[in-house]
Amino acid sequence: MAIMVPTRHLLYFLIIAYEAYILMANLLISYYAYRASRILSSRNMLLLSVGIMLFGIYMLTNSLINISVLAYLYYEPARRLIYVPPSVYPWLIMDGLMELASLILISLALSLPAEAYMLIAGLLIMHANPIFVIHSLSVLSIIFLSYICILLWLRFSQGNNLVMLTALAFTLLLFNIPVEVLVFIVTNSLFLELVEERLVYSVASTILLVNVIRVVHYGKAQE
Amino acid sequence: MVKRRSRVEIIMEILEYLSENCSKPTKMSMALNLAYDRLDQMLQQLRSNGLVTYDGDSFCITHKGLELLREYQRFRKLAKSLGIDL
Repeated sequence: MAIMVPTRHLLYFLIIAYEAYILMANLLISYYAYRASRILSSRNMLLLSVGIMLFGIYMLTNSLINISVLAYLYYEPARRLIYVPPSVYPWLIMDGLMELASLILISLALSLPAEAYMLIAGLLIMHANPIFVIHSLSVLSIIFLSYICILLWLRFSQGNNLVMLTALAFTLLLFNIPVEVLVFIVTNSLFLELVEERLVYSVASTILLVNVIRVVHYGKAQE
Repeated sequence: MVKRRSRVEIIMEILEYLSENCSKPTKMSMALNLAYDRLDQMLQQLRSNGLVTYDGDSFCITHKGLELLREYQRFRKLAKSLGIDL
């Protein structure tokens, strides 16, 4: 898909702007969760606060890594395969670890079963190959995200109506994975894939933020 | 199995009870299912923090106590909306 130069630059700008927005939204949610942890004297709320903050930082570093890949594609538009130099592997691993850590913290806040640690340790110890580690981090993140979604919808089905918007936000993040792949297959554009991902993440962050503000400031949510 | 109440939860139950009416400690002890000694200890602490007052007969919630209770209720609702078990 041909994208004209100004549009491409506009997309760069949009991605960074979205990133700044997502980070801000995550920091705000994290701040409210931290306040709640102090007032309720709750360890789970503190874990959630750190988890959400880490997720915002992960999104920012993820964008910074991807932007360099996109800059490369800008000069080599005919390329279908991207060569990722081994020097980038540590950044990709760090990024994957941050995403996984944030999802583990959120899962812990929602009461994660102890068996999950065995799964993580087992998968990571099996191979020391950086490519394997990068892929297993992605798989583990999907597993944890699925776990969070299932748990939230279960709580909703058990009568906690307040949790619906949170469950919806995390489900959007989960559904983003197949949609992202689909966008790439259909358009063959990493740009659009990245933009789609940022759109979904900003919508999910907005849902969470609106939910937090309406509960804390307006007391709108009904039990 | 009945979940054991945390200290914060008990304090908020005391404030919630007092937000409806001023009350004598013996009545509160029965209503909140709390040992008298423990309740008395907590009430003294709440009093020293300016969250309740004592007129020699009954305990009443103060404006500061009411504000803390409202803040707690808001954030408890937030925790619930984020799927967190307290």
